[in-house]
Amino acid sequence: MSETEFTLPKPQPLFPPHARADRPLFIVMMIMVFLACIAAMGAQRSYKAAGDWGRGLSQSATVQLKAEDVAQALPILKAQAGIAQARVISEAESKELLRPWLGGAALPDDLPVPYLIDLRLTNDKDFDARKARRALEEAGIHAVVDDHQRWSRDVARTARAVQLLAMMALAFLITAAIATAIFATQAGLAARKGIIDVLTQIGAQDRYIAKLFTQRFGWLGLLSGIVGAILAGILFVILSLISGRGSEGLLPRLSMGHFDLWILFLTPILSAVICAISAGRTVRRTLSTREGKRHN
Amino acid sequence: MVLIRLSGDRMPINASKSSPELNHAPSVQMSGVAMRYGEGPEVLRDVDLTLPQGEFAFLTGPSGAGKSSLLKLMYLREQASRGLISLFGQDSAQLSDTDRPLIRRRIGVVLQDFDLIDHLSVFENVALPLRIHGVKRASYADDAVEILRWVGLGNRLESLPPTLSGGEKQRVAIARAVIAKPDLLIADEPTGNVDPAMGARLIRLFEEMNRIGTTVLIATHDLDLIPKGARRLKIERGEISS
Repeated sequence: MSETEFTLPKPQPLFPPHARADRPLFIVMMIMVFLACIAAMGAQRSYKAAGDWGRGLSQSATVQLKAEDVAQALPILKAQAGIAQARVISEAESKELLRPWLGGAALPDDLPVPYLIDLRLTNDKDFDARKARRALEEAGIHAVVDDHQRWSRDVARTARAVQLLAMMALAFLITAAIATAIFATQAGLAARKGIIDVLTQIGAQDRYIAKLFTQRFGWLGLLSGIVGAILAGILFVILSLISGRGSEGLLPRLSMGHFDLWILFLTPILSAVICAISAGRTVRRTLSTREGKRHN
Repeated sequence: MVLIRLSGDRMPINASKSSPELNHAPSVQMSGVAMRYGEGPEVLRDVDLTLPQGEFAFLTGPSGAGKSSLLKLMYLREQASRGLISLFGQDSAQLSDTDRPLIRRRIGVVLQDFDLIDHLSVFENVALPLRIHGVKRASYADDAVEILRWVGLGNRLESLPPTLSGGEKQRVAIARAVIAKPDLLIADEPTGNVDPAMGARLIRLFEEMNRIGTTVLIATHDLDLIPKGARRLKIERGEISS
């Protein structure tokens, strides 16, 4: 080997790449990202389902009346404001609607099954159920006009509650993630005390050391976030396969949409940002306090 | 780059110092300095000491006399419990969080316990001061290799510290302390673990550093190490006598 020829060793990271002290952070962040993804996707799904139900309810109304009144009632109802379509539900369809409650056995012919008229509304603010009922009564028709307002209010309230719960869960998870990252950084500082002492002695600025932690913990947050998001994605796919069988339309059918993909994509990034910022700030504060104690 | 040659070997020290902050203030000035660890007794008392720029001095004294404590004050590892310490003209007690590392960069330190980073190779350990100063790898590689050759470790570039002997670790620590051409070099028993020939070679390295302007202070038990005419500071029971 001549004086100018030598094999330059590969650059090495200043912190050991596989530090045992960092493993708890990886596991905890992975679990938190998993839970955050499930909470966000579940909340979004519930909110969307509630919205769909609410819209369906608010854009329709139902009129129950006797069979002999149907022909007379139909033009009266069509003349009401806000009606896009009025459709008589056939006897067969009515019996089909009753099947979940009364079973598959044939219904007796003398059972008085009311006729239903399904009203599709153009704008629920234009349609006035009381006015419609009065118009029918003036024509001598006794009918029940249900504009579903009571149900749609309940559904909207439930949707808001679900959304609030999800936001609270996310806020708690983010707070817990920040606390975890701070705790893990302090453990990481203790585990790397020897290295930090050397770096400090040779003149490394606190921000240089903080940057090492920011990079290390940011990367750790990203990797743990990706694993957590993948696990959440797998669980969601499994649930969507299960929900596709035999839910009778009562529960929303789960399927991966754009919003879910965005959640799975963004949550690991959020995890990385939380870990990186928490670690950097913790290191700077800790180093500054340590120097302060030493020099005050 | 101007390189110095000594006894036919190329010295790894650049003849021009890089620090633009040279002024005429003493490298170290202590006045009425005392130090204690926690609430313990004073380990240093009424220390008055000046190391002018370009000084080459030895610090001697029995074990427990306070040599290491005095050095710790100089390289800002500890703070005096009273008195004034000035480094390159700046009051060490008034340094901000930003200025303190800048002062530390001007000080090369060789400690008895070496303070090497175990997972970094010998090369990376030596290059560390330049690396954290933002010098590009291609720029410092030659310097790091040359200085490692000078201390006899040119064939151990990729070795990890746990695989080195005590003497080899000491030489890595010395190489790391001098690579950034500090204004002040502080060495605590730097030849304690090496054979006499290597010890003499290391002292020549320190002399060469001193020749280009570095203030050198070496704490040692080995009185034979001290060249004739060199300044000698004696410390006993925490008090200095020249």
